[in-house]
Amino acid sequence: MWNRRIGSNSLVCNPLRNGDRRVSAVSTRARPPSGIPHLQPVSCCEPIQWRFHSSPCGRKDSVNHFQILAASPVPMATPLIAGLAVAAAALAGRYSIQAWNAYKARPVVPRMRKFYEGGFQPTMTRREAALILGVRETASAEKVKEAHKRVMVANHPDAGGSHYLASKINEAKDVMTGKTKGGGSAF
Amino acid sequence: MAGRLLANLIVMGGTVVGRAMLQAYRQAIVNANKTGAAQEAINGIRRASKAMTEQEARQILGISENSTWEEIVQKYDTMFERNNKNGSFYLQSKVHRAKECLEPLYQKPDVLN
Repeated sequence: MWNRRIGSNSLVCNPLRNGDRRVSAVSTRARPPSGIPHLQPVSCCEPIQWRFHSSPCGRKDSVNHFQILAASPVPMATPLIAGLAVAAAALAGRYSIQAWNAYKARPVVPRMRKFYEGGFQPTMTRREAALILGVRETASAEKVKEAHKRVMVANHPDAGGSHYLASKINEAKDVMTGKTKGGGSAF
Repeated sequence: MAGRLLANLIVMGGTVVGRAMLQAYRQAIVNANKTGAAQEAINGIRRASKAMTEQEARQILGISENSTWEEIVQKYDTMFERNNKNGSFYLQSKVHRAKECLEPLYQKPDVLN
Protein backbone atom coordinates (compact mmCIF):
# COMPACT_ATOMS: atom_id res chain seq x y z
CA MET A 1 0.00 0.00 0.00
CA TRP A 2 2.82 2.48 0.89
CA ASN A 3 4.76 1.45 -2.19
CA ARG A 4 1.72 2.04 -4.29
CA ARG A 5 1.30 5.51 -2.76
CA ILE A 6 4.94 6.40 -3.52
CA GLY A 7 4.44 5.22 -7.06
CA SER A 8 1.36 7.31 -7.34
CA ASN A 9 3.32 10.35 -6.10
CA SER A 10 5.96 9.90 -8.79
CA LEU A 11 3.29 9.48 -11.39
CA VAL A 12 1.68 12.68 -10.23
CA CYS A 13 5.02 14.62 -10.24
CA ASN A 14 5.98 13.76 -13.80
CA PRO A 15 2.97 15.42 -15.44
CA LEU A 16 3.47 18.46 -13.20
CA ARG A 17 7.03 18.90 -14.51
CA ASN A 18 5.88 18.46 -18.07
CA GLY A 19 3.12 20.91 -17.39
CA ASP A 20 5.58 23.51 -16.06
CA ARG A 21 7.76 23.27 -19.16
CA ARG A 22 4.83 23.55 -21.46
CA VAL A 23 3.44 26.51 -19.56
CA SER A 24 6.79 28.37 -19.61
CA ALA A 25 7.25 27.78 -23.32
CA VAL A 26 3.74 28.88 -24.08
CA SER A 27 4.07 32.00 -21.97
CA THR A 28 7.30 33.09 -23.68
CA ARG A 29 5.89 32.47 -27.11
CA ALA A 30 2.38 33.82 -26.49
CA ARG A 31 3.01 36.98 -24.40
CA PRO A 32 6.20 38.77 -25.42
CA PRO A 33 4.59 42.24 -25.77
CA SER A 34 2.80 42.03 -22.43
CA GLY A 35 5.62 40.53 -20.35
CA ILE A 36 5.94 43.43 -17.91
CA PRO A 37 3.21 42.53 -15.35
CA HIS A 38 4.32 38.88 -15.17
CA LEU A 39 7.39 38.15 -13.04
CA GLN A 40 8.22 34.76 -14.50
CA PRO A 41 8.42 35.93 -18.14
CA VAL A 42 10.70 38.79 -17.08
CA SER A 43 13.01 36.45 -15.19
CA CYS A 44 12.97 34.11 -18.17
CA CYS A 45 13.59 36.86 -20.70
CA GLU A 46 16.56 38.40 -18.88
CA PRO A 47 18.91 35.37 -19.14
CA ILE A 48 17.87 34.86 -22.72
CA GLN A 49 18.71 38.45 -23.58
CA TRP A 50 21.94 38.20 -21.63
CA ARG A 51 22.96 35.11 -23.48
CA PHE A 52 22.18 36.51 -26.89
CA HIS A 53 23.85 39.84 -26.17
CA SER A 54 26.91 38.51 -24.36
CA SER A 55 28.10 35.89 -26.81
CA PRO A 56 28.26 38.03 -29.98
CA CYS A 57 29.55 41.04 -28.04
CA GLY A 58 32.19 38.86 -26.39
CA ARG A 59 33.24 37.43 -29.69
CA LYS A 60 33.48 40.83 -31.31
CA ASP A 61 35.41 42.24 -28.37
CA SER A 62 37.83 39.32 -28.40
CA VAL A 63 38.35 39.65 -32.13
CA ASN A 64 39.01 43.37 -31.88
CA HIS A 65 41.34 42.87 -28.92
CA PHE A 66 43.26 40.17 -30.74
CA GLN A 67 43.61 42.38 -33.78
CA ILE A 68 44.86 45.26 -31.61
CA LEU A 69 47.33 43.02 -29.83
CA ALA A 70 48.55 41.41 -33.01
CA ALA A 71 48.70 44.43 -35.28
CA SER A 72 49.69 47.54 -33.33
CA PRO A 73 53.03 46.64 -31.63
CA VAL A 74 54.71 45.06 -34.63
CA PRO A 75 54.69 48.02 -37.04
CA MET A 76 55.49 50.47 -34.22
CA ALA A 77 58.55 48.59 -32.85
CA THR A 78 60.22 47.14 -35.94
CA PRO A 79 61.30 50.38 -37.68
CA LEU A 80 62.76 51.84 -34.45
CA ILE A 81 64.76 48.72 -33.63
CA ALA A 82 65.95 48.43 -37.21
CA GLY A 83 67.06 52.06 -37.19
CA LEU A 84 68.97 51.67 -33.94
CA ALA A 85 70.67 48.52 -35.23
CA VAL A 86 71.81 50.28 -38.41
CA ALA A 87 73.13 53.25 -36.42
CA ALA A 88 75.03 50.99 -34.04
CA ALA A 89 76.58 49.08 -36.94
CA ALA A 90 77.66 52.34 -38.58
CA LEU A 91 79.27 53.63 -35.37
CA ALA A 92 81.05 50.30 -34.85
CA GLY A 93 82.43 50.37 -38.38
CA ARG A 94 83.65 53.94 -38.00
CA TYR A 95 85.33 53.15 -34.67
CA SER A 96 86.97 50.06 -36.15
CA ILE A 97 88.44 52.07 -39.02
CA GLN A 98 89.76 54.75 -36.67
CA ALA A 99 91.27 52.13 -34.35
CA TRP A 100 92.98 50.39 -37.27
CA ASN A 101 94.47 53.66 -38.52
CA ALA A 102 95.72 54.56 -35.04
CA TYR A 103 97.21 51.08 -34.66
CA LYS A 104 99.08 51.38 -37.96
CA ALA A 105 100.36 54.86 -37.12
CA ARG A 106 101.53 53.97 -33.62
CA PRO A 107 105.21 54.61 -32.89
CA VAL A 108 107.39 51.69 -31.83
CA VAL A 109 108.41 52.41 -28.25
CA PRO A 110 110.49 49.73 -26.57
CA ARG A 111 109.59 48.82 -23.01
CA MET A 112 112.15 50.35 -20.64
CA ARG A 113 113.05 48.54 -17.45
CA LYS A 114 114.59 50.33 -14.51
CA PHE A 115 118.28 49.54 -14.16
CA TYR A 116 119.65 48.19 -10.91
CA GLU A 117 121.08 50.87 -8.64
CA GLY A 118 124.64 51.25 -7.47
CA GLY A 119 127.59 48.98 -8.09
CA PHE A 120 128.48 45.40 -7.26
CA GLN A 121 128.20 44.16 -3.69
CA PRO A 122 131.38 43.81 -1.59
CA THR A 123 130.76 40.08 -1.21
CA MET A 124 129.00 38.28 -4.03
CA THR A 125 125.90 36.34 -3.00
CA ARG A 126 124.09 33.57 -4.81
CA ARG A 127 121.34 36.01 -5.69
CA GLU A 128 123.75 38.46 -7.33
CA ALA A 129 125.54 35.60 -9.08
CA ALA A 130 122.23 34.46 -10.55
CA LEU A 131 121.47 38.00 -11.70
CA ILE A 132 124.91 38.36 -13.31
CA LEU A 133 124.51 35.16 -15.32
CA GLY A 134 120.84 35.78 -16.06
CA VAL A 135 119.62 32.48 -14.62
CA ARG A 136 117.47 31.36 -11.69
CA GLU A 137 119.02 30.74 -8.30
CA THR A 138 117.88 27.10 -8.59
CA ALA A 139 119.33 26.57 -12.09
CA SER A 140 121.21 23.35 -12.82
CA ALA A 141 124.96 23.17 -13.41
CA GLU A 142 124.49 22.69 -17.16
CA LYS A 143 122.41 25.83 -17.49
CA VAL A 144 124.91 27.75 -15.36
CA LYS A 145 127.77 26.66 -17.63
CA GLU A 146 125.82 27.56 -20.75
CA ALA A 147 124.92 30.99 -19.37
CA HIS A 148 128.48 31.58 -18.21
CA LYS A 149 129.83 30.83 -21.68
CA ARG A 150 127.28 33.12 -23.33
CA VAL A 151 127.84 36.05 -20.96
CA MET A 152 131.63 35.63 -21.06
CA VAL A 153 131.58 35.80 -24.87
CA ALA A 154 129.62 39.05 -24.63
CA ASN A 155 131.98 40.59 -22.07
CA HIS A 156 135.31 39.09 -23.05
CA PRO A 157 138.24 41.50 -22.46
CA ASP A 158 139.75 40.66 -25.85
CA ALA A 159 136.52 41.57 -27.64
CA GLY A 160 135.67 44.94 -26.11
CA GLY A 161 134.80 43.81 -22.60
CA SER A 162 136.62 44.56 -19.36
CA HIS A 163 138.72 42.44 -17.03
CA TYR A 164 136.68 43.52 -14.03
CA LEU A 165 133.40 42.25 -15.50
CA ALA A 166 135.10 39.05 -16.68
CA SER A 167 136.35 38.37 -13.16
CA LYS A 168 132.87 39.07 -11.79
CA ILE A 169 131.33 36.64 -14.27
CA ASN A 170 133.80 33.90 -13.36
CA GLU A 171 133.19 34.48 -9.66
CA ALA A 172 129.44 34.26 -10.28
CA LYS A 173 129.89 30.90 -11.98
CA ASP A 174 131.94 29.61 -9.04
CA VAL A 175 129.29 30.77 -6.57
CA MET A 176 126.49 29.16 -8.55
CA THR A 177 128.30 25.83 -8.91
CA GLY A 178 129.28 25.80 -5.24
CA LYS A 179 133.02 25.92 -5.73
CA THR A 180 133.27 29.06 -3.62
CA LYS A 181 131.57 29.57 -0.30
CA GLY A 182 128.68 31.98 -0.48
CA GLY A 183 128.44 35.31 1.26
CA GLY A 184 128.96 35.39 4.99
CA SER A 185 125.98 35.00 7.24
CA ALA A 186 124.15 38.18 8.11
CA PHE A 187 123.13 36.96 11.59
CA MET B 1 79.87 25.15 30.16
CA ALA B 2 79.75 26.70 26.67
CA GLY B 3 81.97 29.59 27.77
CA ARG B 4 84.60 27.23 29.12
CA LEU B 5 84.58 25.20 25.89
CA LEU B 6 84.91 28.37 23.81
CA ALA B 7 87.81 29.58 25.94
CA ASN B 8 89.57 26.24 25.53
CA LEU B 9 89.16 26.40 21.76
CA ILE B 10 90.55 29.93 21.64
CA VAL B 11 93.58 29.00 23.74
CA MET B 12 94.33 25.91 21.65
CA GLY B 13 93.93 27.84 18.40
CA GLY B 14 96.22 30.60 19.63
CA THR B 15 98.86 28.07 20.62
CA VAL B 16 98.78 26.38 17.24
CA VAL B 17 98.97 29.68 15.36
CA GLY B 18 101.81 30.90 17.54
CA ARG B 19 103.85 27.77 16.96
CA ALA B 20 103.24 27.95 13.23
CA MET B 21 104.35 31.57 13.08
CA LEU B 22 107.50 30.85 15.08
CA GLN B 23 108.39 27.96 12.79
CA ALA B 24 107.75 30.08 9.69
CA TYR B 25 109.96 32.85 11.06
CA ARG B 26 112.82 30.44 11.70
CA GLN B 27 112.46 28.97 8.21
CA ALA B 28 112.46 32.48 6.74
CA ILE B 29 115.72 33.27 8.54
CA VAL B 30 117.28 30.08 7.20
CA ASN B 31 116.15 30.85 3.66
CA ALA B 32 117.39 34.43 3.87
CA ASN B 33 120.74 33.22 5.13
CA LYS B 34 121.03 30.67 2.32
CA THR B 35 120.08 32.89 -0.58
CA GLY B 36 121.90 35.94 0.74
CA ALA B 37 118.78 38.08 0.79
CA ALA B 38 119.50 39.19 4.34
CA GLN B 39 123.02 40.26 3.46
CA GLU B 40 121.72 42.02 0.40
CA ALA B 41 119.11 43.80 2.49
CA ILE B 42 121.74 45.05 4.93
CA ASN B 43 123.99 46.15 2.09
CA GLY B 44 121.00 47.72 0.40
CA ILE B 45 120.45 49.97 3.39
CA ARG B 46 123.98 51.25 3.05
CA ARG B 47 123.78 51.31 -0.74
CA ALA B 48 120.64 53.41 -0.76
CA SER B 49 122.58 56.57 0.01
CA LYS B 50 125.85 55.41 -1.57
CA ALA B 51 126.35 55.30 -5.33
CA MET B 52 128.95 53.61 -7.49
CA THR B 53 132.48 54.82 -6.94
CA GLU B 54 134.55 56.33 -9.72
CA GLN B 55 137.19 53.64 -9.43
CA GLU B 56 134.63 50.85 -9.78
CA ALA B 57 133.00 52.64 -12.72
CA ARG B 58 136.34 52.84 -14.52
CA GLN B 59 136.99 49.18 -13.80
CA ILE B 60 133.58 48.17 -15.12
CA LEU B 61 134.04 50.05 -18.38
CA GLY B 62 137.67 48.93 -18.66
CA ILE B 63 139.11 52.43 -19.05
CA SER B 64 141.96 54.29 -17.40
CA GLU B 65 142.17 57.79 -15.94
CA ASN B 66 143.75 59.07 -19.14
CA SER B 67 140.87 58.00 -21.38
CA THR B 68 138.79 60.66 -23.12
CA TRP B 69 135.02 61.00 -23.06
CA GLU B 70 134.72 59.77 -26.65
CA GLU B 71 136.52 56.55 -25.75
CA ILE B 72 134.27 56.09 -22.73
CA VAL B 73 131.13 56.57 -24.81
CA GLN B 74 132.34 54.15 -27.46
CA LYS B 75 133.24 51.55 -24.83
CA TYR B 76 129.89 52.04 -23.14
CA ASP B 77 127.93 51.63 -26.38
CA THR B 78 129.81 48.45 -27.27
CA MET B 79 129.35 46.82 -23.87
CA PHE B 80 125.73 47.97 -23.57
CA GLU B 81 124.77 46.46 -26.94
CA ARG B 82 126.64 43.21 -26.36
CA ASN B 83 125.02 42.72 -22.97
CA ASN B 84 121.67 43.62 -24.47
CA LYS B 85 122.00 40.77 -26.97
CA ASN B 86 123.85 37.97 -25.20
CA GLY B 87 124.64 39.30 -21.75
CA SER B 88 122.43 39.81 -18.74
CA PHE B 89 120.28 42.73 -17.67
CA TYR B 90 122.18 43.04 -14.40
CA LEU B 91 125.54 43.60 -16.13
CA GLN B 92 123.83 45.98 -18.55
CA SER B 93 122.55 47.93 -15.56
CA LYS B 94 126.03 48.13 -14.06
CA VAL B 95 127.49 49.40 -17.34
CA HIS B 96 124.76 52.03 -17.53
CA ARG B 97 125.29 53.14 -13.93
CA ALA B 98 129.06 53.31 -14.50
CA LYS B 99 128.56 55.73 -17.38
CA GLU B 100 126.15 57.78 -15.28
CA CYS B 101 128.78 57.95 -12.53
CA LEU B 102 131.51 59.16 -14.87
CA GLU B 103 129.36 61.60 -16.85
CA PRO B 104 129.52 64.52 -14.35
CA LEU B 105 133.31 64.29 -14.13
CA TYR B 106 133.76 64.66 -17.88
CA GLN B 107 130.89 67.04 -18.61
CA LYS B 108 132.17 69.81 -16.31
CA PRO B 109 135.42 70.37 -18.28
CA ASP B 110 133.40 70.43 -21.50
CA VAL B 111 131.07 73.05 -20.10
CA LEU B 112 134.00 75.10 -18.87
CA ASN B 113 135.76 74.74 -22.20
